[in-house]
Amino acid sequence: MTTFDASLLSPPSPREDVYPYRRVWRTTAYETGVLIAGALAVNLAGSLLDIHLDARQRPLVTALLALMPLALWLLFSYRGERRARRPREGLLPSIVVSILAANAATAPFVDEVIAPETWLSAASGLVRILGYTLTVGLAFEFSKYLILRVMAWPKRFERRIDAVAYSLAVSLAFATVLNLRFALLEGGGQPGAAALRIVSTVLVQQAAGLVVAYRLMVLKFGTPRLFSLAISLLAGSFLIGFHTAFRAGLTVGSFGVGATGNTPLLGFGFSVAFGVAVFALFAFLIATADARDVRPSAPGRR
Amino acid sequence: MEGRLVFPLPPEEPLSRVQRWAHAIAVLTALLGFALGFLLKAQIVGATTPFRDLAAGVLAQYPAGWLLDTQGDYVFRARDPGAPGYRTTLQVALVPIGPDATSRSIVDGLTLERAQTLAGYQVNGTEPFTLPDGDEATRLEYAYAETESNPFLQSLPVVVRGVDIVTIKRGQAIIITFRVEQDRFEDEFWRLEQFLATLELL
Repeated sequence: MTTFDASLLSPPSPREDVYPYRRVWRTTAYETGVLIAGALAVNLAGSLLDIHLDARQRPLVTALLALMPLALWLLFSYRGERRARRPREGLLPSIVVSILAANAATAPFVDEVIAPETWLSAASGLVRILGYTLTVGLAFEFSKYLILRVMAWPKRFERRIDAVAYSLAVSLAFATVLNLRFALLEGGGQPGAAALRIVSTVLVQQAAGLVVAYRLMVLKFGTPRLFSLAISLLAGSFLIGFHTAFRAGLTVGSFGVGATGNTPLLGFGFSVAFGVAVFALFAFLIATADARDVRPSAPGRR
Repeated sequence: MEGRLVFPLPPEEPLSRVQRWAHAIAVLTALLGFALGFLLKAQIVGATTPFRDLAAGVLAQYPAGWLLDTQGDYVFRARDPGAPGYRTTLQVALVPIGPDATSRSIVDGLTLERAQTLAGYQVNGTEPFTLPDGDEATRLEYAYAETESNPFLQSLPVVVRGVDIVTIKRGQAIIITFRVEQDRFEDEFWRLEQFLATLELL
Protein backbone atom coordinates (compact mmCIF):
# COMPACT_ATOMS: atom_id res chain seq x y z
CA MET A 1 0.00 0.00 0.00
CA THR A 2 1.32 3.33 -0.90
CA THR A 3 1.42 6.04 1.68
CA PHE A 4 1.22 9.75 1.11
CA ASP A 5 4.33 11.69 2.08
CA ALA A 6 3.74 15.39 1.85
CA SER A 7 7.41 16.23 2.17
CA LEU A 8 8.06 14.63 -1.20
CA LEU A 9 5.61 16.97 -2.91
CA SER A 10 6.63 20.21 -1.15
CA PRO A 11 9.29 22.22 -2.84
CA PRO A 12 12.47 22.45 -0.89
CA SER A 13 12.29 25.38 1.51
CA PRO A 14 14.43 28.25 0.27
CA ARG A 15 17.48 29.04 2.26
CA GLU A 16 16.89 32.13 4.27
CA ASP A 17 19.33 34.91 3.59
CA VAL A 18 21.54 35.59 6.51
CA TYR A 19 21.54 39.30 7.16
CA PRO A 20 24.16 39.90 9.82
CA TYR A 21 23.73 43.66 10.13
CA ARG A 22 21.38 45.84 12.13
CA ARG A 23 18.39 46.89 10.07
CA VAL A 24 18.85 50.65 10.22
CA TRP A 25 15.47 51.85 8.98
CA ARG A 26 13.63 49.56 11.35
CA THR A 27 15.40 50.79 14.48
CA THR A 28 15.14 54.38 13.24
CA ALA A 29 11.40 53.94 12.78
CA TYR A 30 11.11 52.66 16.36
CA GLU A 31 13.12 55.59 17.72
CA THR A 32 11.28 58.19 15.69
CA GLY A 33 7.90 56.73 16.55
CA VAL A 34 8.63 56.66 20.26
CA LEU A 35 10.06 60.19 20.11
CA ILE A 36 7.03 61.63 18.35
CA ALA A 37 4.56 59.80 20.57
CA GLY A 38 6.54 60.78 23.68
CA ALA A 39 6.66 64.45 22.69
CA LEU A 40 2.93 64.51 22.06
CA ALA A 41 2.28 62.73 25.37
CA VAL A 42 4.44 65.19 27.31
CA ASN A 43 2.75 68.09 25.56
CA LEU A 44 -0.70 66.71 26.29
CA ALA A 45 0.16 65.98 29.91
CA GLY A 46 1.56 69.48 30.32
CA SER A 47 -1.68 70.96 29.05
CA LEU A 48 -4.04 68.69 30.95
CA LEU A 49 -2.19 68.84 34.23
CA ASP A 50 -1.37 72.53 33.79
CA ILE A 51 2.32 71.95 34.55
CA HIS A 52 4.30 75.14 35.04
CA LEU A 53 7.91 74.80 36.09
CA ASP A 54 9.83 77.67 37.65
CA ALA A 55 13.10 79.06 36.31
CA ARG A 56 15.21 76.66 38.41
CA GLN A 57 13.34 73.53 37.34
CA ARG A 58 13.05 74.28 33.62
CA PRO A 59 16.74 73.75 32.65
CA LEU A 60 16.93 70.45 34.51
CA VAL A 61 13.72 69.01 33.09
CA THR A 62 14.52 70.26 29.59
CA ALA A 63 18.00 68.73 29.80
CA LEU A 64 16.50 65.39 30.77
CA LEU A 65 14.13 65.59 27.82
CA ALA A 66 17.05 66.58 25.57
CA LEU A 67 18.88 63.38 26.48
CA MET A 68 15.93 61.17 25.61
CA PRO A 69 16.68 60.88 21.85
CA LEU A 70 20.22 59.75 22.62
CA ALA A 71 18.93 57.29 25.21
CA LEU A 72 16.50 55.86 22.65
CA TRP A 73 19.29 55.57 20.10
CA LEU A 74 21.37 53.63 22.62
CA LEU A 75 18.39 51.43 23.43
CA PHE A 76 17.33 50.62 19.89
CA SER A 77 20.15 51.31 17.46
CA TYR A 78 23.27 50.78 19.52
CA ARG A 79 21.89 47.75 21.34
CA GLY A 80 20.73 46.40 18.00
CA GLU A 81 24.18 46.97 16.64
CA ARG A 82 25.77 45.10 19.52
CA ARG A 83 23.38 42.21 19.00
CA ALA A 84 23.97 42.00 15.27
CA ARG A 85 26.32 39.33 14.03
CA ARG A 86 28.32 41.92 12.23
CA PRO A 87 28.10 45.24 14.07
CA ARG A 88 29.15 48.52 12.52
CA GLU A 89 32.28 49.76 14.15
CA GLY A 90 32.96 53.30 15.19
CA LEU A 91 29.40 54.48 15.72
CA LEU A 92 29.91 55.46 19.35
CA PRO A 93 33.22 57.27 18.68
CA SER A 94 31.47 59.14 15.86
CA ILE A 95 28.83 60.31 18.31
CA VAL A 96 31.40 61.38 20.89
CA VAL A 97 33.45 63.30 18.33
CA SER A 98 30.29 64.91 16.97
CA ILE A 99 29.19 66.04 20.43
CA LEU A 100 32.61 67.54 21.13
CA ALA A 101 32.80 69.28 17.75
CA ALA A 102 29.25 70.59 17.92
CA ASN A 103 29.62 71.97 21.41
CA ALA A 104 33.13 73.34 21.00
CA ALA A 105 32.97 74.74 17.50
CA THR A 106 29.75 74.64 15.50
CA ALA A 107 27.19 75.78 18.07
CA PRO A 108 29.36 78.65 19.44
CA PHE A 109 30.12 79.70 15.86
CA VAL A 110 26.41 79.82 15.09
CA ASP A 111 25.44 81.58 18.31
CA GLU A 112 28.22 84.13 18.57
CA VAL A 113 29.56 84.73 15.07
CA ILE A 114 26.50 84.21 12.91
CA ALA A 115 23.99 85.29 15.59
CA PRO A 116 21.06 84.80 13.19
CA GLU A 117 18.40 86.21 15.49
CA THR A 118 20.05 89.63 15.43
CA TRP A 119 19.65 90.12 11.68
CA LEU A 120 17.37 87.43 10.23
CA SER A 121 14.39 87.61 12.55
CA ALA A 122 12.94 90.69 10.86
CA ALA A 123 13.92 89.77 7.29
CA SER A 124 11.47 88.69 4.62
CA GLY A 125 10.68 85.01 4.06
CA LEU A 126 12.97 84.36 1.12
CA VAL A 127 15.85 86.25 2.68
CA ARG A 128 15.37 84.29 5.89
CA ILE A 129 15.54 81.00 4.02
CA LEU A 130 18.61 82.11 2.07
CA GLY A 131 20.27 83.54 5.18
CA TYR A 132 19.68 80.46 7.32
CA THR A 133 20.82 78.22 4.45
CA LEU A 134 24.12 80.01 3.87
CA THR A 135 24.99 80.42 7.53
CA VAL A 136 23.33 78.14 10.08
CA GLY A 137 22.51 75.31 7.70
CA LEU A 138 25.90 75.33 6.07
CA ALA A 139 27.68 75.42 9.42
CA PHE A 140 25.88 72.29 10.60
CA GLU A 141 26.03 70.37 7.36
CA PHE A 142 29.66 71.18 6.72
CA SER A 143 30.58 70.09 10.25
CA LYS A 144 28.67 66.84 9.85
CA TYR A 145 30.28 66.24 6.47
CA LEU A 146 33.76 66.72 7.93
CA ILE A 147 33.03 64.29 10.76
CA LEU A 148 31.63 61.66 8.41
CA ARG A 149 34.61 62.16 6.13
CA VAL A 150 37.09 61.67 8.95
CA MET A 151 35.31 59.03 11.02
CA ALA A 152 33.52 56.82 8.52
CA TRP A 153 34.10 57.55 4.85
CA PRO A 154 35.19 55.56 2.91
CA LYS A 155 36.40 52.63 4.93
CA ARG A 156 33.30 52.12 7.08
CA PHE A 157 30.88 52.52 4.19
CA GLU A 158 30.65 48.85 3.22
CA ARG A 159 27.01 48.91 2.16
CA ARG A 160 24.78 51.75 1.08
CA ILE A 161 22.78 51.66 4.27
CA ASP A 162 25.95 52.31 6.29
CA ALA A 163 25.77 55.92 5.12
CA VAL A 164 22.39 56.22 6.80
CA ALA A 165 23.56 54.55 10.01
CA TYR A 166 26.57 56.83 10.49
CA SER A 167 24.76 59.95 9.32
CA LEU A 168 21.84 59.45 11.71
CA ALA A 169 24.23 58.95 14.61
CA VAL A 170 26.28 62.06 13.83
CA SER A 171 23.16 64.18 13.28
CA LEU A 172 21.63 62.92 16.51
CA ALA A 173 24.76 64.04 18.36
CA PHE A 174 24.45 67.53 16.87
CA ALA A 175 20.77 67.70 17.77
CA THR A 176 21.52 66.59 21.32
CA VAL A 177 24.08 69.35 21.75
CA LEU A 178 21.65 71.94 20.38
CA ASN A 179 18.92 70.73 22.72
CA LEU A 180 21.22 70.67 25.74
CA ARG A 181 22.39 74.20 24.98
CA PHE A 182 18.76 75.26 24.75
CA ALA A 183 18.17 73.69 28.16
CA LEU A 184 21.26 74.85 29.99
CA LEU A 185 22.22 78.13 28.31
CA GLU A 186 18.82 79.49 27.31
CA GLY A 187 16.93 78.28 30.38
CA GLY A 188 14.87 75.61 28.62
CA GLY A 189 11.11 75.79 28.49
CA GLN A 190 7.94 74.32 29.85
CA PRO A 191 7.98 70.54 29.30
CA GLY A 192 5.26 70.42 26.66
CA ALA A 193 6.78 73.03 24.36
CA ALA A 194 10.33 71.86 25.10
CA ALA A 195 9.52 68.27 24.13
CA LEU A 196 8.12 69.39 20.79
CA ARG A 197 11.13 71.58 20.09
CA ILE A 198 13.60 68.84 21.03
CA VAL A 199 12.04 66.24 18.73
CA SER A 200 11.75 68.79 15.91
CA THR A 201 15.46 69.56 16.21
CA VAL A 202 16.34 65.86 16.07
CA LEU A 203 14.17 65.24 13.02
CA VAL A 204 15.44 68.17 10.98
CA GLN A 205 19.10 67.51 11.81
CA GLN A 206 18.79 63.85 10.88
CA ALA A 207 16.83 64.59 7.71
CA ALA A 208 19.31 67.20 6.48
CA GLY A 209 22.28 64.98 7.35
CA LEU A 210 20.95 62.24 5.10
CA VAL A 211 21.41 64.39 2.00
CA VAL A 212 25.18 64.64 2.33
CA ALA A 213 25.49 61.06 3.56
CA TYR A 214 23.60 59.81 0.50
CA ARG A 215 26.02 61.62 -1.80
CA LEU A 216 28.99 60.29 0.12
CA MET A 217 27.53 56.84 -0.42
CA VAL A 218 27.13 57.49 -4.15
CA LEU A 219 30.69 58.78 -4.23
CA LYS A 220 31.83 55.40 -3.03
CA PHE A 221 29.39 52.94 -4.61
CA GLY A 222 27.89 54.79 -7.54
CA THR A 223 29.14 56.87 -10.39
CA PRO A 224 30.90 59.79 -8.74
CA ARG A 225 30.37 63.24 -10.17
CA LEU A 226 32.51 66.22 -9.44
CA PHE A 227 29.87 68.62 -8.16
CA SER A 228 27.34 66.25 -6.64
CA LEU A 229 28.83 66.36 -3.13
CA ALA A 230 29.01 70.15 -3.12
CA ILE A 231 25.41 70.39 -4.35
CA SER A 232 24.26 67.96 -1.69
CA LEU A 233 26.01 70.08 0.95
CA LEU A 234 24.00 73.08 -0.18
CA ALA A 235 20.82 71.00 -0.44
CA GLY A 236 21.19 69.75 3.13
CA SER A 237 21.85 73.31 4.27
CA PHE A 238 18.76 74.43 2.39
CA LEU A 239 16.64 71.88 4.23
CA ILE A 240 17.75 73.34 7.56
CA GLY A 241 17.29 76.90 6.30
CA PHE A 242 13.85 76.19 4.90
CA HIS A 243 12.73 74.32 7.98
CA THR A 244 14.01 76.98 10.37
CA ALA A 245 12.41 79.86 8.52
CA PHE A 246 9.15 78.11 7.75
CA ARG A 247 8.64 76.48 11.12
CA ALA A 248 9.11 79.77 12.94
CA GLY A 249 6.29 81.23 10.88
CA LEU A 250 4.04 78.31 11.77
CA THR A 251 4.91 78.23 15.46
CA VAL A 252 4.58 81.93 16.20
CA GLY A 253 0.89 82.63 16.11
CA SER A 254 -0.53 85.54 14.21
CA PHE A 255 -2.55 88.28 15.80
CA GLY A 256 -6.23 87.69 15.59
CA VAL A 257 -9.52 89.00 16.87
CA GLY A 258 -10.47 85.81 18.65
CA ALA A 259 -7.22 84.67 20.19
CA THR A 260 -3.52 85.30 19.79
CA GLY A 261 -0.91 82.80 20.84
CA ASN A 262 1.80 80.40 19.74
CA THR A 263 0.86 77.26 17.87
CA PRO A 264 3.70 74.84 18.67
CA LEU A 265 1.72 71.79 17.54
CA LEU A 266 1.43 73.21 14.04
CA GLY A 267 5.19 73.72 13.86
CA PHE A 268 5.73 70.26 15.30
CA GLY A 269 3.42 68.71 12.71
CA PHE A 270 5.41 70.41 9.99
CA SER A 271 8.69 69.10 11.42
CA VAL A 272 7.33 65.55 11.64
CA ALA A 273 6.00 65.65 8.08
CA PHE A 274 9.28 67.16 6.90
CA GLY A 275 11.44 64.54 8.64
CA VAL A 276 9.33 61.56 7.66
CA ALA A 277 9.16 62.71 4.04
CA VAL A 278 12.95 63.02 3.80
CA PHE A 279 13.47 59.67 5.52
CA ALA A 280 11.02 58.03 3.11
CA LEU A 281 12.68 59.63 0.11
CA PHE A 282 16.15 58.36 0.99
CA ALA A 283 14.85 54.94 1.99
CA PHE A 284 13.31 54.74 -1.46
CA LEU A 285 16.45 55.97 -3.22
CA ILE A 286 18.69 53.50 -1.40
CA ALA A 287 16.27 50.62 -1.90
CA THR A 288 16.07 51.44 -5.60
CA ALA A 289 19.83 51.59 -5.91
CA ASP A 290 20.14 48.27 -4.07
CA ALA A 291 17.54 46.68 -6.30
CA ARG A 292 19.46 47.78 -9.39
CA ASP A 293 22.69 46.54 -8.01
CA VAL A 294 23.88 43.35 -9.60
CA ARG A 295 27.21 43.18 -7.89
CA PRO A 296 27.22 40.35 -5.37
CA SER A 297 29.90 42.10 -3.36
CA ALA A 298 27.68 44.96 -2.39
CA PRO A 299 24.53 43.50 -0.94
CA GLY A 300 22.53 46.44 0.30
CA ARG A 301 19.68 45.29 2.44
CA ARG A 302 17.51 47.36 4.67
CA MET B 1 29.54 38.06 21.72
CA GLU B 2 29.11 34.49 20.60
CA GLY B 3 28.28 34.04 16.96
CA ARG B 4 29.45 37.50 15.96
CA LEU B 5 31.21 37.66 12.67
CA VAL B 6 34.45 39.53 12.85
CA PHE B 7 35.91 40.70 9.60
CA PRO B 8 38.86 42.96 9.25
CA LEU B 9 38.11 46.21 7.49
CA PRO B 10 38.91 45.97 3.80
CA PRO B 11 42.19 47.49 2.81
CA GLU B 12 41.76 51.14 2.08
CA GLU B 13 41.75 51.81 -1.61
CA PRO B 14 43.28 55.01 -2.84
CA LEU B 15 40.73 57.65 -3.78
CA SER B 16 40.07 58.21 -7.41
CA ARG B 17 40.75 61.55 -8.97
CA VAL B 18 37.02 62.36 -9.16
CA GLN B 19 36.54 61.48 -5.50
CA ARG B 20 39.41 63.70 -4.42
CA TRP B 21 38.16 66.59 -6.49
CA ALA B 22 34.58 66.10 -5.31
CA HIS B 23 35.76 66.58 -1.71
CA ALA B 24 37.86 69.60 -2.60
CA ILE B 25 34.96 71.20 -4.45
CA ALA B 26 32.65 70.51 -1.50
CA VAL B 27 35.03 72.30 0.86
CA LEU B 28 35.44 75.23 -1.52
CA THR B 29 31.68 75.44 -1.98
CA ALA B 30 31.19 75.56 1.78
CA LEU B 31 33.72 78.37 2.12
CA LEU B 32 32.11 80.26 -0.75
CA GLY B 33 28.69 79.72 0.82
CA PHE B 34 29.88 81.11 4.14
CA ALA B 35 31.32 84.13 2.36
CA LEU B 36 27.98 84.77 0.65
CA GLY B 37 26.17 84.26 3.94
CA PHE B 38 28.30 86.83 5.72
CA LEU B 39 27.96 89.19 2.79
CA LEU B 40 24.20 88.88 3.13
CA LYS B 41 24.50 89.52 6.86
CA ALA B 42 26.59 92.62 6.26
CA GLN B 43 24.06 93.90 3.74
CA ILE B 44 21.09 93.35 6.05
CA VAL B 45 22.77 94.70 9.18
CA GLY B 46 24.29 97.67 7.38
CA ALA B 47 21.22 98.60 5.33
CA THR B 48 20.20 102.23 5.76
CA THR B 49 17.31 104.55 5.03
CA PRO B 50 17.93 108.12 3.91
CA PHE B 51 16.82 111.05 6.03
CA ARG B 52 16.58 114.51 4.54
CA ASP B 53 15.60 117.77 6.25
CA LEU B 54 16.68 120.62 4.06
CA ALA B 55 15.17 123.23 6.41
CA ALA B 56 17.45 122.08 9.19
CA GLY B 57 20.26 121.32 6.76
CA VAL B 58 20.68 117.68 7.72
CA LEU B 59 21.11 114.76 5.35
CA ALA B 60 21.88 111.35 6.80
CA GLN B 61 21.43 107.62 6.47
CA TYR B 62 20.01 105.86 9.52
CA PRO B 63 19.72 102.08 9.98
CA ALA B 64 16.91 100.49 8.02
CA GLY B 65 14.04 99.30 10.16
CA TRP B 66 14.65 101.79 12.95
CA LEU B 67 11.74 103.95 14.08
CA LEU B 68 12.06 107.57 13.04
CA ASP B 69 10.77 110.38 15.25
CA THR B 70 10.88 114.05 14.30
CA GLN B 71 8.37 115.39 16.81
CA GLY B 72 10.67 116.15 19.76
CA ASP B 73 13.15 118.95 20.47
CA TYR B 74 15.52 117.47 17.91
CA VAL B 75 15.80 117.30 14.15
CA PHE B 76 15.35 113.58 14.19
CA ARG B 77 15.74 110.57 16.39
CA ALA B 78 15.97 106.98 15.15
CA ARG B 79 15.58 104.08 17.58
CA ASP B 80 16.08 100.35 17.13
CA PRO B 81 12.76 98.66 17.88
CA GLY B 82 14.34 95.22 18.02
CA ALA B 83 16.94 96.00 20.65
CA PRO B 84 16.41 94.12 23.90
CA GLY B 85 16.16 96.43 26.89
CA TYR B 86 17.14 99.98 26.03
CA ARG B 87 16.49 100.87 22.40
CA THR B 88 19.67 101.94 20.70
CA THR B 89 19.29 105.57 19.65
CA LEU B 90 20.77 107.92 17.08
CA GLN B 91 19.74 111.54 17.33
CA VAL B 92 20.61 114.90 15.82
CA ALA B 93 19.60 118.10 17.60
CA LEU B 94 20.18 121.78 16.79
CA VAL B 95 20.65 124.26 19.64
CA PRO B 96 20.84 128.04 19.15
CA ILE B 97 23.94 129.51 20.76
CA GLY B 98 25.50 132.86 21.47
CA PRO B 99 28.38 134.25 19.41
CA ASP B 100 31.00 133.40 22.05
CA ALA B 101 29.98 129.81 22.56
CA THR B 102 32.45 127.04 21.87
CA SER B 103 31.78 123.35 21.50
CA ARG B 104 33.53 122.84 24.81
CA SER B 105 31.22 125.26 26.62
CA ILE B 106 28.21 123.51 25.09
CA VAL B 107 29.50 120.17 26.36
CA ASP B 108 29.84 121.67 29.84
CA GLY B 109 26.27 122.93 29.62
CA LEU B 110 25.03 119.49 28.57
CA THR B 111 26.87 117.92 31.49
CA LEU B 112 25.35 120.30 34.03
CA GLU B 113 21.87 119.80 32.60
CA ARG B 114 22.05 116.01 32.45
CA ALA B 115 23.48 115.70 35.92
CA GLN B 116 20.13 117.01 37.13
CA THR B 117 17.85 115.11 34.76
CA LEU B 118 19.50 111.71 34.26
CA ALA B 119 19.95 109.24 37.13
CA GLY B 120 23.55 108.38 37.92
CA TYR B 121 24.90 110.53 35.09
CA GLN B 122 28.64 110.17 34.85
CA VAL B 123 31.02 111.67 32.30
CA ASN B 124 33.60 109.16 31.09
CA GLY B 125 35.65 111.48 28.95
CA THR B 126 35.78 114.54 26.75
CA GLU B 127 38.13 114.95 23.83
CA PRO B 128 38.52 116.84 20.56
CA PHE B 129 37.04 115.08 17.56
CA THR B 130 37.19 115.58 13.82
CA LEU B 131 34.09 114.86 11.77
CA PRO B 132 34.48 112.93 8.51
CA ASP B 133 34.04 116.19 6.53
CA GLY B 134 36.93 117.73 8.46
CA ASP B 135 34.94 119.93 10.84
CA GLU B 136 36.27 120.21 14.37
CA ALA B 137 34.03 118.94 17.17
CA THR B 138 34.08 117.77 20.77
CA ARG B 139 33.33 114.20 21.73
CA LEU B 140 31.63 113.57 25.07
CA GLU B 141 31.26 110.06 26.42
CA TYR B 142 29.00 109.37 29.38
CA ALA B 143 26.81 106.84 31.13
CA TYR B 144 23.62 106.97 33.15
CA ALA B 145 20.89 104.72 34.52
CA GLU B 146 17.74 104.56 32.45
CA THR B 147 14.69 103.92 34.57
CA GLU B 148 11.11 103.20 33.61
CA SER B 149 9.11 106.41 33.74
CA ASN B 150 5.97 104.60 34.88
CA PRO B 151 6.58 103.70 38.56
CA PHE B 152 3.89 100.99 38.45
CA LEU B 153 5.80 98.99 35.84
CA GLN B 154 8.28 96.67 37.50
CA SER B 155 11.70 96.89 35.90
CA LEU B 156 15.34 97.26 36.79
CA PRO B 157 17.35 100.30 35.74
CA VAL B 158 19.47 99.83 32.64
CA VAL B 159 22.95 101.30 32.34
CA VAL B 160 23.13 103.30 29.11
CA ARG B 161 26.35 104.49 27.51
CA GLY B 162 26.21 107.50 25.29
CA VAL B 163 28.44 109.47 22.97
CA ASP B 164 27.72 113.06 21.96
CA ILE B 165 29.53 114.75 19.11
CA VAL B 166 29.13 118.50 19.42
CA THR B 167 30.07 120.90 16.65
CA ILE B 168 29.17 124.46 15.70
CA LYS B 169 27.90 125.40 12.28
CA ARG B 170 26.04 128.44 10.98
CA GLY B 171 25.75 129.94 14.47
CA GLN B 172 24.11 126.93 16.06
CA ALA B 173 25.32 123.89 17.90
CA ILE B 174 24.75 120.52 16.30
CA ILE B 175 24.59 117.68 18.82
CA ILE B 176 24.85 114.17 17.41
CA THR B 177 23.91 111.64 20.06
CA PHE B 178 24.40 107.88 20.16
CA ARG B 179 23.05 105.88 23.11
CA VAL B 180 23.10 102.14 23.63
CA GLU B 181 22.79 99.69 26.50
CA GLN B 182 26.18 99.33 28.15
CA ASP B 183 26.58 95.59 27.34
CA ARG B 184 26.18 96.22 23.63
CA PHE B 185 28.26 99.38 23.34
CA GLU B 186 31.28 97.75 21.70
CA ASP B 187 29.16 95.68 19.31
CA GLU B 188 26.98 98.59 18.21
CA PHE B 189 29.49 101.43 18.09
CA TRP B 190 29.99 100.95 14.36
CA ARG B 191 26.49 102.32 13.86
CA LEU B 192 27.65 105.74 15.05
CA GLU B 193 30.66 105.55 12.76
CA GLN B 194 28.43 104.54 9.82
CA PHE B 195 26.02 107.34 10.67
CA LEU B 196 28.75 109.96 10.89
CA ALA B 197 30.18 108.81 7.58
CA THR B 198 26.84 109.47 5.86
CA LEU B 199 25.91 112.65 7.74
CA GLU B 200 25.92 115.89 5.78
CA LEU B 201 25.40 119.17 7.60
CA LEU B 202 24.48 121.76 4.99
